Amino acid sequence: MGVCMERRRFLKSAGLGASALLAGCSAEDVSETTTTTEGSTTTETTQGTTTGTTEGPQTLLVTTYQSFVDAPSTSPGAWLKETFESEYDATLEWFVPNNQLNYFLQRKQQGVTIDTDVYLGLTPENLVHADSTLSSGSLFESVDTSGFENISHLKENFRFDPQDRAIPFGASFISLVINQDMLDEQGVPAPETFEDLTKPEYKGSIICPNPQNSETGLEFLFWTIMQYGEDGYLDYWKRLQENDIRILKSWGSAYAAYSNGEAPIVVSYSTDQVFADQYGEPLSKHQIGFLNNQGYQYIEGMARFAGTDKPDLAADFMDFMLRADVQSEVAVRNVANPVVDNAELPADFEELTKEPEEPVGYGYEDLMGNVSGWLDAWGKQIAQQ
Amino acid sequence: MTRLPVRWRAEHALQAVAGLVVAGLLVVMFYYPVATVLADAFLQQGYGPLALVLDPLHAITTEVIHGILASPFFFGAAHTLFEDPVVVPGDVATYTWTVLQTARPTLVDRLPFVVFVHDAGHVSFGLFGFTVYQALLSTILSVIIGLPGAWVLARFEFPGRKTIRSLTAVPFVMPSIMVAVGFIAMFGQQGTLNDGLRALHLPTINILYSLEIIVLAHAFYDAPLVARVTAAAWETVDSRMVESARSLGASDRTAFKHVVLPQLTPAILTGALLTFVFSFLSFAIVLTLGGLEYATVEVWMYQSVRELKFQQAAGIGVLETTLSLAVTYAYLRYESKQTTTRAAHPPARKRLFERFSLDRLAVAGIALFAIILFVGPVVSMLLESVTGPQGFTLRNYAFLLQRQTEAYSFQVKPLTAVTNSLLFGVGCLLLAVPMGLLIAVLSTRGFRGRKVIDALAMAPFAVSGVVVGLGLLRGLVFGVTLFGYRFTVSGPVAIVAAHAVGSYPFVVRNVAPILGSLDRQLVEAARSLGATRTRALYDIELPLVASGILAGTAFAFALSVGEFDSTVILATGGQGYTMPVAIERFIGRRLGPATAMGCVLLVVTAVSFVVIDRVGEGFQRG
Repeated sequence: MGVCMERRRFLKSAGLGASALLAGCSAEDVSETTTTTEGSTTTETTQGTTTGTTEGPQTLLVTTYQSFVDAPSTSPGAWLKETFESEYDATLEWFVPNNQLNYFLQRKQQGVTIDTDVYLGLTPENLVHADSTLSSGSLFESVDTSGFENISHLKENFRFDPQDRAIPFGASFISLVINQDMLDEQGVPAPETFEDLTKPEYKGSIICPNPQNSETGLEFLFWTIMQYGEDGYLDYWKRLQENDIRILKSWGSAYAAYSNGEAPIVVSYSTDQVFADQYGEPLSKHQIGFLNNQGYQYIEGMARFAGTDKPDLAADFMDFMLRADVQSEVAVRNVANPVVDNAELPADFEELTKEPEEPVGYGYEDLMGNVSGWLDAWGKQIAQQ
Repeated sequence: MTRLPVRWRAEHALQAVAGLVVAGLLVVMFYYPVATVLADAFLQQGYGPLALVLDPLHAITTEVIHGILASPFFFGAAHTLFEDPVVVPGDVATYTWTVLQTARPTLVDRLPFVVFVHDAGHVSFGLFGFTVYQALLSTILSVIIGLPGAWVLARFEFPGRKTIRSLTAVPFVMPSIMVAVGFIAMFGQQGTLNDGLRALHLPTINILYSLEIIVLAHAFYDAPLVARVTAAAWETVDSRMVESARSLGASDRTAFKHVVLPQLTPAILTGALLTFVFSFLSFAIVLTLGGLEYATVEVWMYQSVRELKFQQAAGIGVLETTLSLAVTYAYLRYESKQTTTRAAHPPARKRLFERFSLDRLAVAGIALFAIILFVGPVVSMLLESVTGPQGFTLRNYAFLLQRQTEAYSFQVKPLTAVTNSLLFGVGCLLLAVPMGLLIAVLSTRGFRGRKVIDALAMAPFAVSGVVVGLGLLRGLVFGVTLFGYRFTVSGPVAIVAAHAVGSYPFVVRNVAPILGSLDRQLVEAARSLGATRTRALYDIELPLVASGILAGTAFAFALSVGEFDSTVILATGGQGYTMPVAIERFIGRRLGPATAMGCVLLVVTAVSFVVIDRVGEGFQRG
């Protein structure tokens, strides 16, 4: 069995030292020779033991979400790795644990080392979740961005962390995606306001990914709270429920049901037409609907893990991520918007990624101390049996 | 004769060692991880699991469990039983009150009524009540659909019978997203069924996002299981008993009722029990085909873990497990009271394709139904994988090929997923089948408290997959610190062990009922003639339980191939991804790539099941 002994980073009794560590790993060797299917057990060595022996490029371990490195359409992971490695004397390794942020929070809670350098894809609510989960200390540390090459071009309204631990690197908008062909058949125009969604002509017409399970759904819920207030959003959702809104497991299952023509409206992203264009689908089936002329800003940040042993390389990577050329390349490959004002995008791409008149969104302070309560009250209303 | 005691002792020693190995595996891969999670339900904030033993007075709390029990959200009208046990719950009280106010107005103002009547509002299910309700409906429907299937499989002979029997395990490996895709394509508004109905000028049906479709999807998973388990028992019905009943003047119907049915009931109830437990813990299907309005307890378990509210998650987990184990225990008490005997003298099968008769017509009806419910969604999914906006396309399969040749090391390769799934599946069987057999044999021995042990052996089915996954992450992937070193367990071997632990109960439940009802005299006769226990097991019992083993093996393999939660956790950062993981990765704006991978999964597993059955039957004959 893949048993491995790993020395704890904060272990003080260095006297046990290398020989015991060796014994642990040799024990692992023995088990490897007896079982042939041994595979992915990794042995993380401590800071102390690596500095003396390391030669050649350093390895930067970056964690992110799956579709950033392995989407069936396009993803920027491979391009980023190759470009970063060609410009810096370093190796970039992607690490994609299934439970994303919770994986690291649980490691921290259990007193296990983090062993990863940079987190990519942190939303404001993620950061709030991380900070309110840990009773002391933070999972991430602030980075001095003043020396970043392109920092003056970062659009200020995208910054969401007052402590500058999370630096934005990408954005998009939550919006409705509308199958206008289906609505035309019913002789119904596209909805334009939140109130429209509660009207009888849209009964059973709206699919929303479950906010408990999906970032898309959660930000849509925030958007309704912005509209109707903490005291009014549950009442609005009651009216949505009466209008048979479908709240499905994840963005994937919601979008799948929408694609199969189960309903003409789904809560998704305003970049939808880029994909429709790629697959040769008619754009009439992929109309973007901004409610009340607004779009909820979906911001992705990057942050350096507190206690990384490669703080400089991690900062270099964040600097690199904000460069104008990298920003435009990542935006196109991740089908999102850049966060700097000097990134150039292909004209057709810009044409297909819609932007609302009025971008809205909650910041860190708005969300702190609220998300869990909002979500709990909402969930209990919907699932009341 | 003098050498016999030595051999017997060696044999007992061997069984004891095997028992210890199995117990050790269960502790490391299941009981320890699960205990670390569930302990939170009884711990005051800030106390670790060890405090349960060291400082129980301060550490233990019942507030978490009580909080859930007394919450109207979780327990509906029943919550008052825990909140205030002496008052009458909700609507019952209000209703009585209203009736009495008109009938006996003076009575209601007197003291006992004022104290006992509770104003909890309307009678509601609560999350637990609803979850039990939908699981019961799913169980009833699965049995109703499964029994005719068992009848056809056990009593008729037709070309392809064995293949169909092998394929009964196929739904079990299908990830929920694939079942959802298949069901939407079959039963949706634009689905095949409604297209057909429209063509026939019949009214269309709209059952998506309802309790009905959830129950139907559960039956899609579990009715074949009921059919398979029951058919396995039907094949070992002692036909000589039927014949003697008939010769004594019993009609076909009487003989079935008094001779065949009692021999089938344990198997039917086994299928019903498994269906109930699986549907009770259902999560993904409920949310994909029903929606959050139909949330089950497991939805809240998942949500609690996502928010890292471990106390609430543990409390829900304890109550879920208690309920599942209580049902299991009740069933096991029933099973042990059964005294039927069986032998390998099954009645001859009827040939299906001959002259017309009423029962052959019934078979045709059953076949039509099976085509709509089982073949329909699967074929719809196959079609989905070769359909694009411009009609027929192979680009989804081209995508799989391209990923196979061009994927980076951190991306998923379809073929690696296939080989991993098969390796883990076979490894799982090599562990799970002997484990299951050993526990089945041990559990048919008579000793006090046996049924408790039996129920505990079923625990891997009774505990939520989310709890097991969380426990494996904390206990094994993060590891345990001993003597300043951190021991961690992950990788392929751990995945195989986790799959084996998760699926051996299938073998136990398929084998134990048959083993328990074996003709004891046969075994005793063999042993009095000098056969060892092992020899008797091999020569006498094994051939009789073979069909049960085979059914258990097929479903254990299916569970391994379909397993998701533990696999992704134990493969964290590694290359141990399987076919369901690949499907998950390929979900995007278009359904095509994921459905193409889903079809690969279907074909690979279907072939595997046929191979398992053929190999198994080879053993049976040899």
